[in-house]
Amino acid sequence: MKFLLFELLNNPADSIGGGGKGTAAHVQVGTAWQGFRLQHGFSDTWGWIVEAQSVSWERWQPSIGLSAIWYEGSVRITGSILGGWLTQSGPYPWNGPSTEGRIQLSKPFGRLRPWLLLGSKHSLGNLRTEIQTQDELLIEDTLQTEWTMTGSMGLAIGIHKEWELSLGIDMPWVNYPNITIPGAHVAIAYRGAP
Amino acid sequence: MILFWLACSAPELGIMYDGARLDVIDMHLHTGEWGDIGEGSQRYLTSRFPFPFGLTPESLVEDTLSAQGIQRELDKGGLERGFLYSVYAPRSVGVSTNEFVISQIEQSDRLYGIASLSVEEWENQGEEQLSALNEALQHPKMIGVKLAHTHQHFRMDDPRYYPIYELAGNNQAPVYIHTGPSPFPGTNPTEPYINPLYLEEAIEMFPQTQFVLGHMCYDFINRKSDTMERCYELAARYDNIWLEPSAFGSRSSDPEGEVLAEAYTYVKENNLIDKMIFGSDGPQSPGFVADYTERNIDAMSRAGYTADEAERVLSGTAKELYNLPEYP
Repeated sequence: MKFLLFELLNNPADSIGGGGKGTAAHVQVGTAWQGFRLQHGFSDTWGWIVEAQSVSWERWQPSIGLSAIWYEGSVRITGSILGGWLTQSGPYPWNGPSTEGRIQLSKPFGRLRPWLLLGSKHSLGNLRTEIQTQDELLIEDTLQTEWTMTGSMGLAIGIHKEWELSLGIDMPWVNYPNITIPGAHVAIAYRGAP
Repeated sequence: MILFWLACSAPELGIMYDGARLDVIDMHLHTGEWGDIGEGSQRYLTSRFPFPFGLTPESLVEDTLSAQGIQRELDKGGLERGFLYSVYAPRSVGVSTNEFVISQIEQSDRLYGIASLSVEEWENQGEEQLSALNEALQHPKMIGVKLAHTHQHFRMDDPRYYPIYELAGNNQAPVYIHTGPSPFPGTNPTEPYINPLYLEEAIEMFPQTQFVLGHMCYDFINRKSDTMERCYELAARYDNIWLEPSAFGSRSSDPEGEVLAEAYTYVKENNLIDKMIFGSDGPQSPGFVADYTERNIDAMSRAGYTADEAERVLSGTAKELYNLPEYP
């Protein structure tokens, strides 16, 4: 039996490819990026997003944002803007606001749907260094900025009505120009109909 | 089975230069435990790892700084032996005790130790610290002393600390001196702490003590090399002064290798080759020691060093100054 998932769902909400009317969500686990995204399209074009990302459970970035469908045809292209907070523990502690602009693209082929996500993240943070000299404790606060280019691609596979399994690779460039090791993830996604 | 044998076989040591295989000794390497490393140094070390390894760097850093890790780094560059430094700089880079260094060098016949001491509360603790330093130097593989006035916050011309130089001389243990401003937080970058011209009285007072001027006075804060003339001047004037070119020729400090090449050129043109002793200031990150060695070899090649002259720098002078036995 031919399983035409994407024909059955008219303008489906989609948190992996982005856009759509109604509610969609996915949870991803992988190395080193984990996270979830909840999306609700409140019109044919516009929707809101709530998400949180984690890297190695040491770096967290919760965000909220708006998304819009830019093009809907054989390919769906969506754009999103998000604002949130970046917090990181470890030797380089970070706490500060973050913003992200994102473009998502997906194209269905029956139950298979390749997707691509490209984005640019920016964050501000304050780094505090405490130096105990012979005379006093010196506290030095340094305002830092971080620019991360995000890039992920993968394949979503329809597994049961509104449910998909997505396999992806993550190739961000965190705190450019520092080098970042690519990662991979698996996600389970609910792709709701309006 | 063949792969297993290849993986376990001893690496070929030495580097090829002008058709000759030369021994290489790295006289400046660091070891330590994560918890004893200063905050600024922890950040520096983790920044050397690709993301996301820097988020949880403890085990990676400790592996890199262990005797096994350092030996792996020596193997990558074909280096024969290395000196591991004790450090007592709690206000900046942290602490790596004589006892810890001894525990590392006893694991390998390719590693030697450079002892140090704390100068905190010197008026009360000085005698005790000198005694501990003397005891550390009795270990047959503890062959020198490391001091970093800028990290340890004591003046180079402060006579209260001259007993350290005297003790080192009495033990035939050359004293490595960090010279020039350091990029690490918690250092004192003012002249009496970084400029070895302030050390001149001690150099003259203790002619039996050998002083190795680390980093050759390079200014890591402003990334300038004009301060290096201070070190050249002392090396030319005193028999007990030696030069060590670590760190300032790294990819981050000297991307094109010009500063390092200029330094080697000056040293050759001014007959100071016999005063140069190679060190890297590694391991910093995997591959750094091999890369830094390669950059020094390239700089010597650009400056027209013969194979004999390159070997003097890379191992010959270190073997003589530190009285090292032949290896293996």
